[in-house]
Amino acid sequence: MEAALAALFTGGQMELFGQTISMGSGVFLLLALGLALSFEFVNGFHDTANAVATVIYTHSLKPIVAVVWSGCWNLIGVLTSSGAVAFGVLALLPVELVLNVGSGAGFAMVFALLISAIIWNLGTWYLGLPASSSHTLIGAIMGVGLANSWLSGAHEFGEGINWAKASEVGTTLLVSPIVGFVCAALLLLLSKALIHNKELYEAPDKTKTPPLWIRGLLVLTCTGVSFAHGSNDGQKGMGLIMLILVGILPLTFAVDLGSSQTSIADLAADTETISFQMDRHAPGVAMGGYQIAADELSSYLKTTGKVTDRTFAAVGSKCREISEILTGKKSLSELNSDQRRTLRSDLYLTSEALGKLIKQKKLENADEQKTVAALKSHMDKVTKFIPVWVKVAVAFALGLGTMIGWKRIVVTVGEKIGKDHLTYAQGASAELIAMGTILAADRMGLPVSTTHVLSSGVAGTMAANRSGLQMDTLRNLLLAWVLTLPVCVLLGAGLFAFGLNMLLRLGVK
Amino acid sequence: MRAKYERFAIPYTFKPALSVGEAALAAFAAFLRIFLGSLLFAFCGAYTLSVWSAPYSLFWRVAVALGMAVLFLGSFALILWAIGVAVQKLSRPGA
Repeated sequence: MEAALAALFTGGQMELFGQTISMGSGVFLLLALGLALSFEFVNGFHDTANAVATVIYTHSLKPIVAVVWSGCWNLIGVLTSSGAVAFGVLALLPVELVLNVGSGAGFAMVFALLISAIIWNLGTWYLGLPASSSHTLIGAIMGVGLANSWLSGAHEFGEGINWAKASEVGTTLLVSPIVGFVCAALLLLLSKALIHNKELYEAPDKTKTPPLWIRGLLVLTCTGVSFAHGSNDGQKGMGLIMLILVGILPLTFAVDLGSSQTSIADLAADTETISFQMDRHAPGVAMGGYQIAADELSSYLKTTGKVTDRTFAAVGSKCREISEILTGKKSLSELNSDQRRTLRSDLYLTSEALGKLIKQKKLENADEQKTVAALKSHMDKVTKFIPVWVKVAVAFALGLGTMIGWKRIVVTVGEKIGKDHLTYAQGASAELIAMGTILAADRMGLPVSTTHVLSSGVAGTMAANRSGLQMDTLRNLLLAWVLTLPVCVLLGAGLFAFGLNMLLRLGVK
Repeated sequence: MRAKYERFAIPYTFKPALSVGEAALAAFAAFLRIFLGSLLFAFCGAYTLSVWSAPYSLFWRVAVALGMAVLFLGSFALILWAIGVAVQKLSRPGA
């Protein structure tokens, strides 16, 4: 059996996107694409409730209209997204696995992440529990980091975990329910004090639609939440798809082949300038080779990595290497496969290191920070791009998931949190807070989960309305939210170790 | 009588309140459908692409692609049916 499977990886060949790859790599690529799209599909099941629960239970829209509307706005959100969130997720992964995603460990990482997230999302969905898809993915990423640091001798145990992110998720667990509960309750009390329309505070009549302005408000918030979800949470799978494409088809996807000649020339000149600036931070420190510089930056990018003179010298060295590769090139298509892979690694390492230097305020003055930030943004344009077909595929998977799997979580949010039926005012208050939260989280980087905020928001309005709460549901919700991270860490770590072992047995290194 | 849109819901036999055991079984079955479906897609797709890349005549390439598409759909339907039957048997009391 093992011999037969191993033969697959050395057997026939195929051409894809102008690049010849082995049959085994093709199978891996298509399997990863299938799983990544399935992850988005299941993500659609879960997060629909954030957008449509209130419009359905206040009879603002018929269920079929609401879910199709939400699915379409999710789709538009993904199509118009920049991809920044997609690559933000990748920044949490162990650097050496991101740079060597075409290796056995890289494949094991991607499959472990996708499978863990799908399993936990399906489990909580079947129980009707609105758990956060972001926490699920972050948990799986931490698990992979933990297992990677454990299995590879070059790391201390736990070094692969982004502890800052873990603490952020912990804060989210505390902040989100409080924000949702308190803000939605206050908004409902405020509306009761200001708007004296009895109809708003009674259970909706099944035969009637709500007052036009309330209906408009609920449909608007449903649209806003759906669009924001698509353009933000919805793009997490895209980053993983790009990682796989870069690993298997570097010739086509390692760098953006559409970069203009001017852009390439500017990048070559800017990296050369920055290399001199970095040398000034570390006078007399020599790197002694590009690989040493790469190792230095990889160490710095670990959560425990500290800045030293050698960090600046390594950034300078990598900038020089990038400048040498790019100087005189009219198009990135002129680079061969190895050069494209090297360029991507260099740009990734340098950009992440520059980002960390800026974040840690290790640069001299405001002018230098501005120049370095501009260079980082320029570098990111070359490596952090998402082809339109990837966006379209993800958008359809997410939209389809939204339309198909909506009911289970919507029933929980609409019927099982409070003891009374959701009134117009309660629906509007909870949804307004959910939409406000997405906007605030985007702009201010607040660590809140929309899923948690909406569910707690509905609970808050029920409490403020003195309708009573179904404590069993709330207990299950809180349990699922708290368990998401540890369970996904364990799943991610276990599946990564299992996958790595299997791939090594198959001879994939 | 279920509404039209409800017939598309997954699972189509919608039961809002599942016990932890039922949910675990349902989630495992759904994951199996997803994983085996993706695996089947990967093998059929890779084989089709490898034949498409080979220097055969257009007729043979199209014939293989169509054959693989039919094989994929047929096998996928069979997998879904087999998992559905297995889940029904497992979830039936006394089975």
